[in-house]
Amino acid sequence: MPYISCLGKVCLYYFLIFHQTSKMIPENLRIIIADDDVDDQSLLTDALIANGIGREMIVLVSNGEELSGIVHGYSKFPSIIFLDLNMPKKNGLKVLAEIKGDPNLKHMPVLIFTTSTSPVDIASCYELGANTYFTKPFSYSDLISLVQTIKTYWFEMGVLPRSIFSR
Amino acid sequence: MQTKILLIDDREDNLLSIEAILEPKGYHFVKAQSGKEALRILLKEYDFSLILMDVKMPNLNGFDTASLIYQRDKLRHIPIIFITANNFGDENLFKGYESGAVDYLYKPINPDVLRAKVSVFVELYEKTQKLQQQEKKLTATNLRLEKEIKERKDSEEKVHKLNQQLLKNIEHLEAVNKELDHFAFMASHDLQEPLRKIRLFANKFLVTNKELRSNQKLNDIERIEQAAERMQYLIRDILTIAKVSTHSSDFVPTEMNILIDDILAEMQEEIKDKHAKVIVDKIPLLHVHPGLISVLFRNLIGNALKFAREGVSPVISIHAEVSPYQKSSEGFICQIFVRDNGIGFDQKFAEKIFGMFTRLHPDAQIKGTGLGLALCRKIAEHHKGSIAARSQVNEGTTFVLSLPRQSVIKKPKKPSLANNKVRE
Repeated sequence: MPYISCLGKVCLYYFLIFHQTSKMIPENLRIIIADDDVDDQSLLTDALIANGIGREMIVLVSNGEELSGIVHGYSKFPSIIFLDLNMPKKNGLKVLAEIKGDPNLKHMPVLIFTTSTSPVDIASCYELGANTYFTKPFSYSDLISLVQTIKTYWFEMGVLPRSIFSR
Repeated sequence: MQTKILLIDDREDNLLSIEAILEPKGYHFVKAQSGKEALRILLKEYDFSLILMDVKMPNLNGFDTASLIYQRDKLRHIPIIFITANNFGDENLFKGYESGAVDYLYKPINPDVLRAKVSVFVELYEKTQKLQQQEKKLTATNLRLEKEIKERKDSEEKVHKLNQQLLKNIEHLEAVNKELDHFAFMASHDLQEPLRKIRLFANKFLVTNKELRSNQKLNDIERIEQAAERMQYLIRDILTIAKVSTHSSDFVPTEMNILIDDILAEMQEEIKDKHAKVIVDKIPLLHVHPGLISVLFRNLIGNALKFAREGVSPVISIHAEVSPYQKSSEGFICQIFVRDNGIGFDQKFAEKIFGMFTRLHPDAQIKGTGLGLALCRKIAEHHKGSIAARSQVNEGTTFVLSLPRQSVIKKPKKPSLANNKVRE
């Protein structure tokens, strides 16, 4: 992993993680799931756990307002947000716009996780700065492999950012 | 009809001589020997063309008789010739009563004058009668015409009202249809969520309890999963059907050959698996909704592959027939034929197959929701066109898509598409 060497302090951090878990998932990684549907919350949680993610890393909120309330507290962690679009109180698009419009939050990757296949939704999400748009799979094995791909891409191969402003 | 003349004279010889003078004219005579008798006759018979009456008669003289005759409306039109003695100046006596149709003859009677006068009066009378009849006829015709006009107006109003009602009904039906579509859309949309959960949890159960899979028997959870999957396809297709009417009716000129080639490229694996041959002739540029028309052709081609005869490689041919619109240059009518050599079906099912959830082959081997052709029909109707099927068992099926009048599109000069493209 030659690219780690150029990351300065992070290099050490990753080095430690590497030794601790033999995978490269940062231990203070936080995965925020914003979904009003408890079934979907639990399915995604289980799929994450099945992929070796610790339960303590998973944060559940059930609407946009709740997400707005807690998201600032997580900006200092390497974190990623699974965002459902169709939610009561404040819908996904609104929170997405808020997060991507906030200089303290916009670095946080937001993965849209919704049942909508509407081209309009897809386009507006990317326009607002969503990092990837996923439609919820129809089978659990698909969900598992989707989570696996996300894990490999974002947590193992990619490097998650942390806020350099707050704290 | 024979002309009837009433002769009134108290002296029979006079009656006879008048009769003798007028006889060659072929009149029919009724004779009366007194005013009284004449009045009695006139109670029953009105159809006299002329009355010839002696003025000088005992009891009731000619003038009194005439005034009694003319009191009756029915008789007022009968002209009277009074026969009077020359020297009395009687002609002025009846003035008060005359209506123009009164004349005088002087004794001794000159046969020529009598004949002339009588014939003039008879002629006048007959003409008047004819005129009256004509008038009556005209009035009747007029009445009939007026009645007819009124009837026509009434029926026109009725038709107008019916039309109005029909338009209202159509509007209502369209609204109901839209509502139904909306309902189907909402229902199927909302049904999708719980169904997705069923599939997910059933599948999760299988994934997390892998040991069940070793069981050779298809276990119950797997059946749940499969049933849910099938239901999901159904709902997806209902949603697609419900959504057709929400698509725009602004059609765009579409290169049908490119559109079909794209579909064939998408389906090439299926086509290859079935060793199918697809022949596509040149199809003109058409105004359609490309997204919907693609769905339609994908369904028709998919069906042709699905219902292939065992041991016979499917051959699917697509061609168009173009005819001028009402012999004018204002456009053309286009029919597209999709023919296969598959298992076909009895022609009596040709309409039924376009119904929702219709499956002629309940064979589990052949997958389908029974909604594909219903969707095709809905798409054809969205284009204000129609779709029909011709088939025969074991002879293959031809689907005919008829599109409404197409305006001629001036084509940009482009290198022409390869005609008769064969994909194998």
